[in-house]
Amino acid sequence: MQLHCARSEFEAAGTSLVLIGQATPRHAAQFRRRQGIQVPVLADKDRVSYKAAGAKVAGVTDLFGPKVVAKGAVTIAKQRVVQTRTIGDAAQLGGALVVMPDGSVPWSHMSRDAGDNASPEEILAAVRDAVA
Amino acid sequence: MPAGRKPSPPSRADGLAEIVLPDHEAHDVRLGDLWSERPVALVWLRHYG
Repeated sequence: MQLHCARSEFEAAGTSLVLIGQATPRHAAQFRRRQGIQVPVLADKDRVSYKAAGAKVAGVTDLFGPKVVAKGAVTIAKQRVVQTRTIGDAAQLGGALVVMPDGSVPWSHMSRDAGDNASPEEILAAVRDAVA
Repeated sequence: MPAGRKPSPPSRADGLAEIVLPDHEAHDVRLGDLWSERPVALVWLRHYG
């Protein structure tokens, strides 16, 4: 399941889904159009929110280690999606937080390497647990 | 954050609340407004590619 395709499931759980990327609003708009994404995409060119969220800046092995390369190959084969040109800092890793109205963060997953991403199913399960 | 350090997500989003970012239509969005009324799942992308 692609994350943005699960938008209705996040909505059904009473939760919003917002993506944050590097670079500019123009890049964010292009990304939405290319991927057919309907959820909001914010543009953090200076990566201020990445830093505040505790997202990691990768070292060489976090990007090109054998485990990461192998996982990337599996992902390409399964999803038939090939990574295109990287916009922004290629070493900046991502992650996810679930934030409640009181500001608490009951669940988080910040990537340890380029292949370490929470699946849409994991994020959705965390959301459902948090609102239960 | 120096390269290679462990990620360190916060237990509270207070440090994120006052950050303002433009959205895909260049409208400013205060992050704290995203969870003021209902929970939000925020996902930071590694890249747009």
